[in-house]
Amino acid sequence: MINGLITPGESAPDFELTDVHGKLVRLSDFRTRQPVVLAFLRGFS
Amino acid sequence: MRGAEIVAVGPDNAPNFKRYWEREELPFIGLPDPTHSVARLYKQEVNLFKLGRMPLNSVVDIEGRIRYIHYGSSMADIPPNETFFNVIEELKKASK
Repeated sequence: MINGLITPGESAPDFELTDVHGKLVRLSDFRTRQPVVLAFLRGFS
Repeated sequence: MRGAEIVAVGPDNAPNFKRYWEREELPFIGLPDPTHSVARLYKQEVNLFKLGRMPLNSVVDIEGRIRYIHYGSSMADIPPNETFFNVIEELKKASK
């Protein structure tokens, strides 16, 4: 770990959030199915 | 994106997020994170001198492991799409 940031090889911290259509999405839902490209946005405004 | 799911997490609240998503007709998963709980979990940098949140991009493999991660150092510091394509291609090759 460098400066406490996440580094390659670590387990991705799991999380769940409700998407724009009201559906609950959990990162681990994609496990065994698809790689995930995660993008953290700055905000629209 | 072929061979991967794209998931975008942002600080806006659900109604603003939904409005933006519908207006731009974005074809990938959009997750409002208004309490910033997931942004914090992933250590997304908030730089008050650079006017807010720095971009953060990552690729997670099918075992739930981080294969690529980039903490942006400025508003525009977002890797080109080829970076993600290349990581995903590598993952596909490795899984064969």
